[in-house]
Amino acid sequence: MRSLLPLLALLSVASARAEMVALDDGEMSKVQGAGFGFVLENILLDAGQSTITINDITNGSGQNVPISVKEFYLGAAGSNKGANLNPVTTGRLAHPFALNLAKGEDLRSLRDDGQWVQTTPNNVAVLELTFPERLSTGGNACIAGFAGAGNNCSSRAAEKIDMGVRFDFQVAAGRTDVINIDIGELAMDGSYLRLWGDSARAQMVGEARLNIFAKTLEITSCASGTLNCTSAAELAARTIYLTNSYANVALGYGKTQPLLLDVTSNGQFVLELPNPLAGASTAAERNSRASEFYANAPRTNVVVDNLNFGGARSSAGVAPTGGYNFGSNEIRGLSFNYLKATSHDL
Amino acid sequence: MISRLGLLLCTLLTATAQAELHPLADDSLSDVSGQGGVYLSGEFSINKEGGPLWSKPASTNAATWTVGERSCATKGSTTPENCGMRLAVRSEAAGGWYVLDNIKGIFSFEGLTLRTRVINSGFAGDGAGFNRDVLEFGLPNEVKFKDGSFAFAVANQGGWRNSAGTVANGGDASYQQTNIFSAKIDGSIRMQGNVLVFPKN
Repeated sequence: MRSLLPLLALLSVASARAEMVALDDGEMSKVQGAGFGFVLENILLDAGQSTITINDITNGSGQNVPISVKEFYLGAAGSNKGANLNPVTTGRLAHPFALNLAKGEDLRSLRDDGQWVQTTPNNVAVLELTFPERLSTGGNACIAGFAGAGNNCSSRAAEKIDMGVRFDFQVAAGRTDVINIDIGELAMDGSYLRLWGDSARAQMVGEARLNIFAKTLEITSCASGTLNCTSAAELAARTIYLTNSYANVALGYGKTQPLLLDVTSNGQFVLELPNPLAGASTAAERNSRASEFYANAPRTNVVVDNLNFGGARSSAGVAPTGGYNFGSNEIRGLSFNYLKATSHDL
Repeated sequence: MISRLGLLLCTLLTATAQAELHPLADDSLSDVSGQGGVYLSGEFSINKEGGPLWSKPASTNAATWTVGERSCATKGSTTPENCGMRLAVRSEAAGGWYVLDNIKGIFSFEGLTLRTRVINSGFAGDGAGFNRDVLEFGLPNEVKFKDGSFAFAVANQGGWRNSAGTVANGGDASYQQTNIFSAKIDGSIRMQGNVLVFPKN
């Protein structure tokens, strides 16, 4: 071992020529846990030439119901439901998709009133996957021409995407049920998934925010060109049109109600949002936890400015005329006090 | 032994040093710039003929499988199929396992590129202010799949056990696995564009 030392010393002298200078305290304190940014440049996905089948979803008799995935695409806005696909650049250099490792006390979430608050507990290392962020100032319309969705998205009009997918459920011999989904001008700014380890629970926990802003969303229950689905009128009659719709889905509040994605020891899936007051021993602690939870826990909002069954859009992005108009539908300020969903084998 | 090894290393070092390396002058160095990058095209196959863990049984009836046999045929099928790779993760000390099961197939692509690039313009006005290097992954324009498959499941043990088999055949009735869904992919998927990666701070 001793004879290796001169060799190491020789090597270190050679590399020392690069003149590394030590960081002083002031420089060190500026270093924070940062991550990687991702920008998708000129992206286009089209699975129209492939056969994708989803299996293992069974009917009441335990038989497999194969689901064929068709017409899956992702491209620039204005694609006319995937008919005219062009590449799109999504995520901005200044506001990219990101994978971060940060301390719980350094992360912030946007509350509905525009305040940034800490939702993750202190003294944990959090792995965070984020979409392009929402901004305090200088943002863009989350949905063009619909102020209700907010003007704090970092994505601009050209960075929004069109995407769609069609599922064919082969329910029985000779019968196929179709769900065809097309989303126009989609932005998902401010969405994130955060994961960390909870030592008291001895498991991985997290919190998630899923923001979906879509100018148009259309759900059609038949495949174009099949029986009773050939003319534009027949196709329109089997379509649900959503115009100017958005959803902010908040799952979990890291400090007192982390999202638990478990598999039980007998092999079943459990999704749980625990009671934020669980484990609090005194009335004072329960009160402070409850008021903190109600003040800061992110809420779930689902807003559809126009919901229409049937009819037709006079031009892209305009609410349809004809059919049945169900007007504006909203769920706002939904907060989960407790949620537990468990899978069972049938 | 170690001292002899050290001597040998020193000798090697001396031997290489005789090639007389000269330092590059500053102007020669300034001519060197990171160019090129990597262009990859290829085809790879994962567990197409089954993995080392399980061999293909003669029937799809799990009760008849012997030790080391497993079929991953779709429910209702009577033709046994080889099983692919299995990946199991447990995120809770006393909990069950998330499983990515039966990962197999042939994937081929043409023109996956990897290089660095300076961005100082474009991007609808964002590029000039950015003015930094990024790592650019160029996606292949087309990825072809043949018999690609995977299944997402939850299970009470990381390793697969035959819950329907007899104990003599390596069966374990306490094993529980629930397949949430599985997917099969055939044909080509158009996948174009670049993924730009850069440090964020």
